[in-house]
Amino acid sequence: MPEVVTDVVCPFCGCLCDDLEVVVENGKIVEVRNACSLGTAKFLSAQKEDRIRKPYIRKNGKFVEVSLEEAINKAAEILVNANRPLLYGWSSTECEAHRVGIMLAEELGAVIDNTASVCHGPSIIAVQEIGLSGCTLGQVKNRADLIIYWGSNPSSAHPRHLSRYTMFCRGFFRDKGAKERTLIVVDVRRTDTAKLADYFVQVKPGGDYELIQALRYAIKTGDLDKNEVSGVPRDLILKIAELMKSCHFGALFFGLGLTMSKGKHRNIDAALSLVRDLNRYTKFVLMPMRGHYNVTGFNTVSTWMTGYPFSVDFSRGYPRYNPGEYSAVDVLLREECDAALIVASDPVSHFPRKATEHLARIPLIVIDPHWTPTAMLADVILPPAIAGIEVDGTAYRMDHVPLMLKKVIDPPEGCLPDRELVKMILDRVRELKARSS
Amino acid sequence: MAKRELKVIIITGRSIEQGIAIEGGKMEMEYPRACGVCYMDPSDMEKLDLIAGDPVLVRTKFGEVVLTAVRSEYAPHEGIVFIPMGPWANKIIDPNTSSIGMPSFKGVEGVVQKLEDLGKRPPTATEIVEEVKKTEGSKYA
Ligand code: SF4
Repeated sequence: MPEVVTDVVCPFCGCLCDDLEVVVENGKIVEVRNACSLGTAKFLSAQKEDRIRKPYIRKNGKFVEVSLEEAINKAAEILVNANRPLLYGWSSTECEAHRVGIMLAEELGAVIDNTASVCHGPSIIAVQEIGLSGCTLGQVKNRADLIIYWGSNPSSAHPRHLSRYTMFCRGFFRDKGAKERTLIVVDVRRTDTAKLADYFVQVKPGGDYELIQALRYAIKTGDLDKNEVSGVPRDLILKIAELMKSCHFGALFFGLGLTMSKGKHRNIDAALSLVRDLNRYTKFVLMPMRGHYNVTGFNTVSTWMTGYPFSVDFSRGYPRYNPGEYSAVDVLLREECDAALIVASDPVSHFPRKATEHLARIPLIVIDPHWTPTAMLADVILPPAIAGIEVDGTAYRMDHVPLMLKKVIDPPEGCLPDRELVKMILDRVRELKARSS
Repeated sequence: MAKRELKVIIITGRSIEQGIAIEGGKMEMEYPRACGVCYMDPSDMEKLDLIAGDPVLVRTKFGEVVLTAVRSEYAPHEGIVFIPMGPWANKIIDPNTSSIGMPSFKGVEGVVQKLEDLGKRPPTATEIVEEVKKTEGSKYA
């Protein structure tokens, strides 16, 4: 008899949709209901052929299956013998694993960083400088009448964002749904999200900063003494400024189009200032479209434990924070780290080539459920259970609301939760250190 | 006469195919099919006399990579090409982190070149791993 598990939280993107139904038959997932194609792919991936099911150590250039104990011991040895280990990844696993990971970083005097440094790190830096007018996604759903996506294409990265939280949903004060809302999309391409917009603003690449400042000027003065800014005509800028000022509740969602383009954190600085200005006239909020489902969770846990959200260095025994110095890409570009532990992430695919090259030089430990380019370079591989599918845990939605991940099926035999694998490494590291002192 | 190469601005980012391929399909053909591609404005393809599926070489100051040209459904964006995030795009983006940890994954200047040899294809993820293993000072050397 198939069993239907309800109210399942999707462990793929920062929307953390919590209305999924997963049909399980004979311990296998046979159907995923309500999820988008990304969420469905993630659930079905648990059963894919390429799953890492055993611990491996690279011996003479080949992966050899070993006992879990041997793999943990080898991982701990590598980390204890390193002068400047890097612990990176974390955004696709549960908060309980983050906690143990940060304890391990402290024990080792390591640098610990998560994928925020290559996605919304600039947003966090800007928020620390300016502050943030924010809210939960529930408030947006119930109240917002103006929705803006800037440098973000949820149709590719957060497919259910519009239908669950912003446009195509009825809210308490917006019971006519999309009819009561206006959608503005700012992007360099006419994306699928842009095609749905009431107003599409096509900005030139790298022109976001100027456009935001032009909007601030137009909002303050009601005028603009340029015919166009960053490829956007004056009339459209004035129209958007008017819409922003006159709405009841506006929400600006922004993506990597702002954080990765010229200006980076300064773009977010400008966007935060724009929203601050708008709050003189109406209620306006801003939210980064966080990518990995629990990237927000790592930043939250890290802030509780170290005082800082990401890019934390423990080499002096106490935490220090400096993105640009302790961020993973920089530590690799400077060829500074001499060992790395990568948890639930694939930097060889997602870092600039020059940064990935250093991973081929140093001992590398990888905890990942699938074979990835990073796993292919590893010296030690540990097989985890997938959080949110095979093990429960806590994750933070993009609006900082914590949700409980569910266990839907059993993991393959021998696959343990990330938190347990990292804890085993931590215990072994402590033993080795005690022995040598 | 069609041009042989075209100056472009490169942006990288997520696509739905990329998001599906990364869930357990990274060492399979699914991954280069999703990410070893270069979405181009139809008018730019015409300038280079390209049809969808032709191989192109994309070059920047930081490297070069063979990709498959695909007609963009998000046109017009003349002079801008989109490459899904992944090890292909990352061979050519700007690694400079502007002292804040974030490389320039979007807005990199480059050149798209038409390839005469139509048999050329993007490297597979395994081939990219092999390239990385050949890094100077690599533990595999
Ligand atoms: S929108 Fe995101 S969280 Fe929701 S089902 Fe799709 S991938 Fe999962």
